[in-house]
Amino acid sequence: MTASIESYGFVNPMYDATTKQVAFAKRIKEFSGLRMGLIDNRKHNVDKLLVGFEKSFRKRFELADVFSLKKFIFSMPASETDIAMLVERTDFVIGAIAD
Amino acid sequence: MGVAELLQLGDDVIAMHEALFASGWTDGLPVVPPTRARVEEFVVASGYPADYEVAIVPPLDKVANIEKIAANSVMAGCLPEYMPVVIASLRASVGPKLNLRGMQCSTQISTPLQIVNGPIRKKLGFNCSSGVFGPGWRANATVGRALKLILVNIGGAVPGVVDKATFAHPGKYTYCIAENEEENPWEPLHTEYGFSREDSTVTVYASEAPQTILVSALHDNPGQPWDLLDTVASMMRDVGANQAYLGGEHIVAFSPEHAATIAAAGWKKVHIQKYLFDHARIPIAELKKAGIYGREVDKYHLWPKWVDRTKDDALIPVARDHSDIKIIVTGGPGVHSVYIPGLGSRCQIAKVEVPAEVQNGH
Repeated sequence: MTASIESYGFVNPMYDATTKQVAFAKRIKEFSGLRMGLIDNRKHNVDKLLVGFEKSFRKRFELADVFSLKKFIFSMPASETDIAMLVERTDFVIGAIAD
Repeated sequence: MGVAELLQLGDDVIAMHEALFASGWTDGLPVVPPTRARVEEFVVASGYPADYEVAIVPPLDKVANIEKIAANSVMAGCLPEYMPVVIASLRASVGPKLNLRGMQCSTQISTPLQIVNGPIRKKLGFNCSSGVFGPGWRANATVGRALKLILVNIGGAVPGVVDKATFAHPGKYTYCIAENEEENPWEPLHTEYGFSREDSTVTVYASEAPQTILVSALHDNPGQPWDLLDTVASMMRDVGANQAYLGGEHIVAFSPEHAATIAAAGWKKVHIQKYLFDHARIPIAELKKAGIYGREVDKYHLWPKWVDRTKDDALIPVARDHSDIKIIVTGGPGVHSVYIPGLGSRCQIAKVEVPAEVQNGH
């Protein structure tokens, strides 16, 4: 049986794990009347996926508006400016990854 | 557990190594046990206190302090005196232009390549000659491995879990070289960033695996570098590479023999860079066949503005400026050089600070 790593008293090389309470965003029960945001991360097929999402939502709900945004590049987070725009102009946001 | 206790383990040393494997701390290879005593030696060798925070490592954005860096360096098999180079490697790796976060989570193949410059190479025994990318030199092998263990153990880029590289490449175990400054007919890499030859630095590049460039016959233009450089440019014209649409920096590593041939013709680095910038270009017709966006040319938002996208014979440069093609000299005798494709980001560099400098507040 393998001895536990703790029994050797080695210095743990891993990050110090911490926990914190995070409040989830409120779950939306009704999308009609809301403004939808779409983040295109610039992967090849993301635009097609997001078009599909928009069609599907519009079919089921009366959206107040749809605001689309393209990130600068897929491998980096959205900029602070982009995030601020989404906060100001949308009530919920859908992001996608699609090679 | 101290050294004396380790020596008492006998056959139980296998159980200890199995426990290390089971802990998830290793890269799949055996590690040196990070005993408290050995880690403390490494902390002292850094010149910093154990709780000094060196970097925040993505993608989990966890703190790499000196003690954690030391523990990973012990495990990698480093000597205590390698700590300043590991610290500089990490500092460079988290520089914003490298895009470590993107690299750590991507399906793409890149991993940080460390290029060591300055007197520290000889002082610590870094190889910069034959076999520079391969095994056999403790400094290269372990300093490279220490960084990779840090990126996983502290940054959280666990292979297959967070690090989603489709293939990865062996550089994810260790990928550390030194420039052969002694046989470099031009200025060493770090001086391009404002450092003096006497400074020791680590430059980190988001790097794929090296691709060999064999050129031994220059029949048509003997003594001139055009045909050699045309071969280099042909390697850079890779439709399947990130840089075909992202640009970013590239590294061309000439062997001393190739470098001497080019320099003997009176060419300096800038001449090489400009030649490659002009010749390493891909026609739009080729990029439309496949690559990342294929026919949807309007999606290639990072191509230069001056490219006419309506023309299939328009040429897209793989670099946005000639200065983005970094030229180094490394390796030993032989008519091989290497082209090292990248992620599409930029190199970052950090100075190696020895303990005396740390304690003097430099």
